Amino acid sequence: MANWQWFHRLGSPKWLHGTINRWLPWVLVSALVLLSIGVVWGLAFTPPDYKQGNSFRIIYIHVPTAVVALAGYYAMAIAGAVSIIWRMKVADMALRAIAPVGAAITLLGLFTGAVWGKPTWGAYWVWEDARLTSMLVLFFLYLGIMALHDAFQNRQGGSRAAAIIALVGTVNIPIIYKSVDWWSSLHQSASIKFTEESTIAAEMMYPLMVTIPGVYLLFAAAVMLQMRVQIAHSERHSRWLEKYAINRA
Amino acid sequence: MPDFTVSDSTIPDPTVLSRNTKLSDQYRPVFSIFYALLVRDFHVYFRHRGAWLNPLTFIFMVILLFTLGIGPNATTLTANAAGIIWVVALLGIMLSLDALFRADYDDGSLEQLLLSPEPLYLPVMAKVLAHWVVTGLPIVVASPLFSLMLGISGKAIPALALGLLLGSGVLSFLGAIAASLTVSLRSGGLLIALLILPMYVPVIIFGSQFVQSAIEGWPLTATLSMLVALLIGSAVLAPLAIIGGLRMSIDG
Amino acid sequence: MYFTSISELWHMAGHGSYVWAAYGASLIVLGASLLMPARAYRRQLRMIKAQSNSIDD
Repeated sequence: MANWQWFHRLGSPKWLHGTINRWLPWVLVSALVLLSIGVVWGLAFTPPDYKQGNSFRIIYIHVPTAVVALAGYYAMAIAGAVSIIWRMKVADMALRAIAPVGAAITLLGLFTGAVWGKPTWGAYWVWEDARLTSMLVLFFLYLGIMALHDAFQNRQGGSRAAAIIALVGTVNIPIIYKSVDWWSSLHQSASIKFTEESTIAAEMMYPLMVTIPGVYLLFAAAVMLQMRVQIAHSERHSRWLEKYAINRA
Repeated sequence: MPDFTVSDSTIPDPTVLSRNTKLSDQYRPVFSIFYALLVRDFHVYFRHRGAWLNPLTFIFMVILLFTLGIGPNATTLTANAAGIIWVVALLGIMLSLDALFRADYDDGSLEQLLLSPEPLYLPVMAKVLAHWVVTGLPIVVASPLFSLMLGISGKAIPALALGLLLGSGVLSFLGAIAASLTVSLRSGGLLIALLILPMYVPVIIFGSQFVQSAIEGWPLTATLSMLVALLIGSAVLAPLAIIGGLRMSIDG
Repeated sequence: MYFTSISELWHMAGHGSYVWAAYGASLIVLGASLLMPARAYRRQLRMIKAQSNSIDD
């Protein structure tokens, strides 16, 4: 079946290695270009928010990291589902590659959120903000998956365990987010209102439309790099990689 | 090593079943395994009083420590009581999870169970149910005592018990997923905590809010229905993940 | 450009330390998540090459 050839080739580490090497420069360069444009635009060329002043410029990195942190978890869960259903090695690799990158991006989202919180609410951490609390839970979900990977000596077992817990997490995340949202609205003090949507001017939103895909692409590049490390590890005794290593240097 | 031999009367004998000719017996093997497992686990658990006594003792001691840490002021204690009881109950159940499949894994009966051609949904249900009866249920029964220790008023005591009844079931089902994934590892205890504590967030939110609402005299239906929904959802879905986890632990 | 000078851009009317801390941390974390696996890969290739040389000798 010619149509399914790509699907079977996905199982070949050599093919995957070649594909990653072919795509990586493009992904990386476009990520860096988009991020440079978006960040310079957001930092220097947009007017400040009439209420928050210049501190709102953190939005151009905070929102993309928050979006990608959640999307990364879902990507990981999809990889987990693929690995459970089709037993594809590539999916295991993707799952293993996404976990540390996703955790790093989530941590970054937390940090930028906290730094944004200080000038806005007067405190680095405000529990009433459901989004920060949910993101902290998301960070722990990532750490759990990484710990599970590390705990298994047997690589295949670790991958399957992580795939299962990632799927369980996917079912749970909407419930966690909703419950934390409800909890924070219940305990919200009168002085801090997060519920009202701030009316951000359109021209302030444009850089965000650039940095969000930028961080997505950067995430993809980091995941590809991580997968390449895994391929190099699992294929360290194979002829093709040895040839590649000699020819490259 | 506890003794896991099962008295013959509790094992469904396939030869006996095949001799039965009634059509209604078609589904009997599945339920027989369910009952057999339930009865066997009860035997095992009640022969070792630590199974139900240790989590309970742990909970009482941690409540004591909380009181010592916070101070004897009755209003402060009561204001934090709902949260304390729920966190402590959650920890007590969580710490008992490692034992859920451990003995069956060590003596090979878990592998036997997975090799059987019958669907695993009900057997897994039986394991979790038996575990809940010896860990969750004693906590529910003892909850009026926790209330006394932390000064929760009389009218909130039934709400605490009801909330714990529903919530501890969710804790058992979700926790069993982590237990099934880590049973093949030598030390699963802390790993279970890392895996499952984030998943416990909704239970702790709705559980303690349910108690708080009862203390304050607020309407209870919203949080109660959320707890019921969580229990139904986890009872339906968690066994699927548990089966996957057990298969992974056996196959490697 | 919104700001009239570089020092104004740096200061951002008192919010500079927060904004630049956020972007600085982003540069470090995102940079590290690219550089660390890239370095690990290069190290692996070097090791594979060294091993194949030692076998050939």
